[in-house]
Amino acid sequence: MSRRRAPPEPPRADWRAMLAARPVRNLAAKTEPAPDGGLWIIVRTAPAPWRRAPWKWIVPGRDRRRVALDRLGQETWGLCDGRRSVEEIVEEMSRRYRLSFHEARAAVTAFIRELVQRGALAIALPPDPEGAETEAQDASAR
Amino acid sequence: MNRRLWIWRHFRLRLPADWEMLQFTRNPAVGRCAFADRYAFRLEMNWRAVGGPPDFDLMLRDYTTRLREQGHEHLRPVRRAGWRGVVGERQGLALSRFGAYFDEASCLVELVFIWPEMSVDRSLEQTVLESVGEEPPDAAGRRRWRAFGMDVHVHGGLSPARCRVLPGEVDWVFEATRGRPRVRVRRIGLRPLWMRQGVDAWLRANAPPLRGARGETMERQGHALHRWSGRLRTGGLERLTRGPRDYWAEAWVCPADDRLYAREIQGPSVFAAEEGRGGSLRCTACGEEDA
Repeated sequence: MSRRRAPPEPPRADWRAMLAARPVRNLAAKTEPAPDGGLWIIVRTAPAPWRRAPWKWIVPGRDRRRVALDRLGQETWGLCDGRRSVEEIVEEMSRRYRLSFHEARAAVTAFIRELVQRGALAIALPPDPEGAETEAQDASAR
Repeated sequence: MNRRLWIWRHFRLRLPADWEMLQFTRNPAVGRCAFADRYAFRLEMNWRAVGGPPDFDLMLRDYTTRLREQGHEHLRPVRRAGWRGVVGERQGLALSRFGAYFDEASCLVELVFIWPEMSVDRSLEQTVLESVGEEPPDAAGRRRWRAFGMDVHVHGGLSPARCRVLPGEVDWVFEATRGRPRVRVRRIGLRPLWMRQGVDAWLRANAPPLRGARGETMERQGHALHRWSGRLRTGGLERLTRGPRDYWAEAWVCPADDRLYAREIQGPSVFAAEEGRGGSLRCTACGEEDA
């Protein structure tokens, strides 16, 4: 509190929606064991317009992306089965590795964010309760 | 409801056990830390060192005016557990702001409770406010810090110079203003993923080169404690300008949370010996010294 300064805005982060989301694997993503005992996720990428003959004979490039996972990553990937929510995955990792909830949340969400950016995972958001109510109203009107 | 004790910037407060400190500053003059439960931020503590007690009536009047300008609604002044404050609402959040002046630290402390979905719990507010107090130095002048699963007693002349908190790893360094004596405490989890050796070997591998190094193993409150100490090998010029320095370290694994705890001290011989004996690092997971 201070007379002259404007009161600071309290932090507004709310993880509820993010924790309720469900990570869903890209069906086209394949996994392969890595030589170091880890795991590779192979994701096919959309062909770029220039990746056609004759350009692709000249400009090297790949039509797939490879993501290497360590042990923690493998376990998190294993839990991303499309049924578990982010919160359930965080709870499971927190239990397995005796981490606090927010320690596990930071690790799991960073991993999921990276896999979403690389196209290996997609995020299914929970249905909007307001939207559900509107639908119910529409149905009763019919 | 289970409560957990936090001590930061020489202020103690008891919060629900599932609240964690997610943001913090180290500056003793002005700073803040914020605590969150599983879903959202719930409490912010701000502090500001001031010359003397403020005129609370005037301050609260100005403060309320500014809050109204910021768009807060239904503002009303409150007094609770010796704290003066103002409660109100903004954008679907109920906010309670309380301020108090702490004499010994000459510091103005503000607590901001954030109540998502307007779920205000006045009894929790009351309990938290009642729990806030100054944590004075002990008889030897040591200061206590308690956060991130560690309870630390360090020399009063040291202040946090670095605090790095990552998932499963906390690295906290206390240094004197002049940068010579230094205490570093660490708490490292995820042991099955990285720890391939025993605690003793880890301690030796992490120590700088020492002269006359000696190791020790003992039992302390159910923990197998390992120590490693000696004189730091420094260059001739450094030895001439800064004098000889000692290194003292201890480490153990707490069975309650399966994490590695380590404390290392660097500084002049007298400092290292006294800090090794008098200072301490305790794990909060096994309920040591929760008072």
